[in-house]
Amino acid sequence: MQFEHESRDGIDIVRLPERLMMADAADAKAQLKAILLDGRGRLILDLTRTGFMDSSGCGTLVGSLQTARKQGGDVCLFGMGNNVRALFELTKLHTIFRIFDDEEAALRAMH
Amino acid sequence: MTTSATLLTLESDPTRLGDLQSRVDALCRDAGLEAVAANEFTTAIIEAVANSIRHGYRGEPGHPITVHWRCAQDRIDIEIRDRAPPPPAGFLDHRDMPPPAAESGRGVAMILAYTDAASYARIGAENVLNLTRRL
Repeated sequence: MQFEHESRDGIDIVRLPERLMMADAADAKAQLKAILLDGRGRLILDLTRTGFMDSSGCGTLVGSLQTARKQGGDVCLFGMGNNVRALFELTKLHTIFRIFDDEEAALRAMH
Repeated sequence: MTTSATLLTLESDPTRLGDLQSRVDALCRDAGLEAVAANEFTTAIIEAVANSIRHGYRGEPGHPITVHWRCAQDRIDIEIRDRAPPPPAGFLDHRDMPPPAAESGRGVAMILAYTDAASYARIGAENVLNLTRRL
């Protein structure tokens, strides 16, 4: 699995896949870490397509946040659907990530 | 009274979990769960099977796992069987969700949050996990 990735004004944007789960977790974590370390530690994750996430997917996102914050950066999310939103509320992940409705709002927050 | 039943079989290969997720989600919706509830119960089942693969079979592929789906008028009952060594005693007692900054440890808490009943038994050489969601 190769993430779609682009950079805008020094901010990395990654489009996450339909599912973020155990099979891809190690690879996903490594990709996000490499993007953060190659960049400025500012990452926006597009969850528009992501309809399913398990505990491994949660761990992948938390790991990327920790990597970013060690660099003095951050990870913002946007495009969250109802399934992932419910999971974030259950796991309280919504308390540690900044979550936006759309990409432009996330970009504004990162600047 | 059981109104429908389906037996799903897979090997202990994480790459099979995507197909299982699609299949189970469709069964949940067909049974009458609305989208978010279907996703929740599907998540519980995927977490349970992932635990079998990761912890039971130590990530080793090629071992059998069965998911027996039974849908009655008022509930869905799932029975997940594997032939891995038994899990630690009381593993279903880990009801508390870890802190949000934890990278792991959410699986059992998610299973319990997304089911109305969950029980485990060792029957012969098999681990048998039963999960129920009311309709």
